[in-house]
Amino acid sequence: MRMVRDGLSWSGHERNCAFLNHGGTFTAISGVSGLDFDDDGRSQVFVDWDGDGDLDCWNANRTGPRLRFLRNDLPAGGARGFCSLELRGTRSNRDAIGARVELELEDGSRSVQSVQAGSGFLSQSSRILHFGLGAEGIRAVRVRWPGGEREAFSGVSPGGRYLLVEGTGRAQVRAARPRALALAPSPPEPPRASDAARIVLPLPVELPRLEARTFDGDPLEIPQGKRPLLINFWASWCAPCVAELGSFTRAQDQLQGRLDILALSVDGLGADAGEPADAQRILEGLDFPFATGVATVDLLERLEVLQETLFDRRVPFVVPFSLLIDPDSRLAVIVRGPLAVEALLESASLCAEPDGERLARSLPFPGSWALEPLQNGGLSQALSEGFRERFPDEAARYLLAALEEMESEKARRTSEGESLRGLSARELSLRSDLAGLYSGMGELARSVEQYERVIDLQPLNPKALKNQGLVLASLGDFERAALNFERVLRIDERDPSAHSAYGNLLLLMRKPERARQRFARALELDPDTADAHAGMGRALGALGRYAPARAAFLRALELDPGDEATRASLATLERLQQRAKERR
Amino acid sequence: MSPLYPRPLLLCAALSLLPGFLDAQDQGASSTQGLASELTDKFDPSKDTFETEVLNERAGNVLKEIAHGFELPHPIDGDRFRAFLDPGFRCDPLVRSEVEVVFEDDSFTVTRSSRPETPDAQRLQGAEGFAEGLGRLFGRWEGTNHVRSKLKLWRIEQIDAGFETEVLVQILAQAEGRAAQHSASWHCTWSLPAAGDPLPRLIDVRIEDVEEVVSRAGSTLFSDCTASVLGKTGPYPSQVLPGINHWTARLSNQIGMQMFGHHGLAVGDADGDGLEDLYVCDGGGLPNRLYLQQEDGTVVERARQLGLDWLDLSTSALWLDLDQDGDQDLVVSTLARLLICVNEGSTGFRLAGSFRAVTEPYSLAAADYDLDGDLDLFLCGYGAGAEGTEGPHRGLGDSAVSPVPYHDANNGGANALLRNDGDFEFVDVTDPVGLGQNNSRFSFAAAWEDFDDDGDPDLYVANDFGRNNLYENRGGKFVDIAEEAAVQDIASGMSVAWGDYDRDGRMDCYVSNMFSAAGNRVTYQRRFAESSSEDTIDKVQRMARGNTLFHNAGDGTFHDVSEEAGVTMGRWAWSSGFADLNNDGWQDLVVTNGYFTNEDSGDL
Repeated sequence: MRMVRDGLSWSGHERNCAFLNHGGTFTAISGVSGLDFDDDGRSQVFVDWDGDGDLDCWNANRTGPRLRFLRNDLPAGGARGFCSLELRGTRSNRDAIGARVELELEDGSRSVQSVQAGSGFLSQSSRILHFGLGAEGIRAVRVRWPGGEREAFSGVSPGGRYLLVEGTGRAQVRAARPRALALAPSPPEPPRASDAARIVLPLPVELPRLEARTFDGDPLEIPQGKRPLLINFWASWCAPCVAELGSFTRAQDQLQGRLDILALSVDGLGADAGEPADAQRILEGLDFPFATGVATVDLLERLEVLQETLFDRRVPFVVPFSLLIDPDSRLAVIVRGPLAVEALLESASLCAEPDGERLARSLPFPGSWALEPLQNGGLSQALSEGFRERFPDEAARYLLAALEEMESEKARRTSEGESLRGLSARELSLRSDLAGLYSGMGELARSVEQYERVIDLQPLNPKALKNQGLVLASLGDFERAALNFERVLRIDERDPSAHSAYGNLLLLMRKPERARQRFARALELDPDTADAHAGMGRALGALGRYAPARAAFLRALELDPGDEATRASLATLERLQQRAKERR
Repeated sequence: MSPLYPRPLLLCAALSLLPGFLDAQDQGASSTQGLASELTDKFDPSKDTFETEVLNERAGNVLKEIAHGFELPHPIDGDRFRAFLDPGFRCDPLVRSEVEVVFEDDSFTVTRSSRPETPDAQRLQGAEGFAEGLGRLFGRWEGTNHVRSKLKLWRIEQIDAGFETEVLVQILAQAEGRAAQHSASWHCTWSLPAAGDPLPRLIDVRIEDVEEVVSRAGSTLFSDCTASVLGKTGPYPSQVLPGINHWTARLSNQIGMQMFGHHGLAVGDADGDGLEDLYVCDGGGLPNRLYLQQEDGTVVERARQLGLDWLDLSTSALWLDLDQDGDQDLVVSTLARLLICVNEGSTGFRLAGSFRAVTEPYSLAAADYDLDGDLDLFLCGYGAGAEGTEGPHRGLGDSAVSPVPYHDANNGGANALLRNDGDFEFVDVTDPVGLGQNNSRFSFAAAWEDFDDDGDPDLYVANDFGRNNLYENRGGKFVDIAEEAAVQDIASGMSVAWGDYDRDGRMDCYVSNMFSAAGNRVTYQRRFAESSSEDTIDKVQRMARGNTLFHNAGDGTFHDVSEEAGVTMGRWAWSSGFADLNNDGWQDLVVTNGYFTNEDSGDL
């Protein structure tokens, strides 16, 4: 999936297939059918759209064009016949879904079709039944309505369209409509793909840490203030970038006072030619009136993660590139490619609008939401997931932001008298995440604090108690950790991992006998846990029972040969055994 | 005090457990991924797990060059092929003298020939012979001005001093007002590339199962009239023409704009004017569209005016008369909610209700399962979603839980049957009616049909990563009889359609799956066999085979007739359906294809 997001194909360029049925065997006619487009085809529906007696086709695709109308050009008249039957239930459901029609033809053959609603993939074709007849006439029409009641219909002839109403026994003729059709072969021409875009975010996004420097290499304070800020990324070797800086310079009277600009050069950061000094010369030549500096690799990487998290499709970072930051230091607009001054001013004015307006402004077309997205801090949580692997510090900040958003949602609901349903589950998941993240970052005290909040919300949460116990142990607060494990085991005495963890703690507390009991219980519950065997080895070793300790270590290594700590313990044990033997 | 208390050792050892322990606690969901990725890796040709995949890539390059040669103006110079052909190259004639006409009507003539033993003297020899054979092949299609060809390598086996491949050959030659399609299987023998030479050489080609279709009227049966129907609508340039890739780079996945493009179509007469209309689902942030047909066959777009312009990620929709009042209401399956939209006539549609039915919803299918005179809804659910999450920020297909085991996954999302209780009230009756049985698969699509002719609708459900369901309706309760009926079709089920393909009066069933050339190549390798159990090999090979046609035997069971009927090769199939394209009374089959096409040249 990652590679697809980056722009590789996967089973791409595959053409749609059609198989001609002749007498119950099939021949591939994909090419000559004219249906074999290499769009990423998804849904496909059939309907006699133009009313000329054959089935036309609509396709929905992933690639552009998203829709195709494919007209069936079967020669009209000739020997070929058809009839079209619409069914209407009276006792049955009115759409007659599930009714089955059997046509008996003059040559004794029969054709059977059912009225369906939903077939194929995400597709509903016309529920008007279309029967091809070849050259045959119709001898009989029999309908089996849902439930099994059978009814014969008279009055159906080749070439006609009919309505068959349940219980009437006689087909009603649908009058032919004289239609002046305006359809002609006209293959669509999808536009050339371009990455240039001005993207208004559906909600302002808390910025990741943006580390920039002055041209002298000193840390650069990103201005934060009352006005929107445009951070423009550019390079000395990029002509459109230089032109863009020129246009900002010429428009300075219009721009100043309404927004700030910080132009960050990326010279020297990539493989391209160009150095910060080149950028500096250009800025001097332009007499550029706004703030300037140089970007850092760290900054670009964080922006990359941010965009990867927000968008399914990854677009390479290309200058010029701009970020519009609102006065609350949140990202409001991303611009890929050059930005005209008018568009810049329009974007800046957007920053003054309330957050609730952004979603509608971010969309290319008007429309209605059944359930508005991005409620309850979901965006910050998603960003935290996106940053977790490469920038845990950032991930923690986004989780804090999500918690803040949740708190304000709680306040809003409380003041408006709405139900708080779902919020505490949400807080629980956010705080658990945060606690885990802090412990991974070595921020142990903070981790303990978050686990504490989780446990407040859900006092019988064994996972949180256990994890907090482990973090407390790492902090050296053995007594509190022990209380946690006692609680965990009161909640679920049959959890072997809790016994093992507690056993490890007891070892740290120099209580090897009690530790041994925990490991023994863990192994009783699950005899094949390497951890418990290793712990058992340490406990027994600490108790001076070297032989069974050795056996336990060996069993642990058998289960997990890569456990270096146990291997080291075993070596220590063997040294001790040796020494004891010598002493004897 | 015991001498084993040298504090540093024990402290470090105990502490060294902590990070791992924490990880294991916090990331339980991801631990299931190992097995699935192990199996999927075996499908992934970009990982050179097997030597033959390297050969495949190189032979594929040769075949691409040859296919490209077909597309050049004729006559073709033999030199064009010399670099790829062994000096002793031999090939069966590309044109057969004896062919059988198996079908003929106003539209198409279909001919077939099987492989008679060709005497050596009649075989093509060397590059010149090959070029001459091609000349004869194309010479029959006079005035050809456009050729498209594809040589697909789908099986490969190493032999002494070389290797053999099975290649599917498809050539389309178009002329003004006519077209011909040539399909054949080539059994190719290759020599290994010489040292320093990247390309293997073709030694011998045996040709089997040649089938040709010549269209008699018009170069193709269908013509693309898209622009004339849609061209004047507002969304045409901005929403119809650009692909999903345009939007996934601009609209956030956080509002439901995702890369998969799983958005469906529904045909029905929305405004009751006797002309059928089209409802189009789209991704999150793009409004669904309602195209109303006009007398001249073109459309006007009216979703906003009529209250159906949903921006929520929508997968499928159905036009149904839910309240028996004679107009068509609309049900829309969005990621978070199933929407029930009531047709109120000239004032448009009213949202009568919306509820959370399944996680990751896909196809909808309606029937009156309890025969009480109104329509009930079945909605397919794919993944189970991540624990404790709700709402649009969770994606489709990005299920937090991977399918386990890959060839028989049973950890997907539940499907739902919603009983219509009148007044647009629906009640989830999935479990009470027995549809909770085998209901944790990755379901993409379902279709109702009374396959056993007892008067009530039965239900087939197509599931990705494993076996499908056939729920027999027994008086309003359901029993999964897929195994007894022999329609489990353990593969990557994408969709299902019912139709009577052999006109015996009983409803047969076509299931679309994933045909994977790579899967076919890799899973038939000896080394794959050595690394997996026989049972697993069978299952995984079966998964890569392609689509399945089940013939209804009339005794409650079905026969898999896919291979003799010739309908397995549907590529990476999505929708499939029966439609009589040429009005001859026989139900033809159509399949849509392709997963991700991007702007690169290669393919994963």
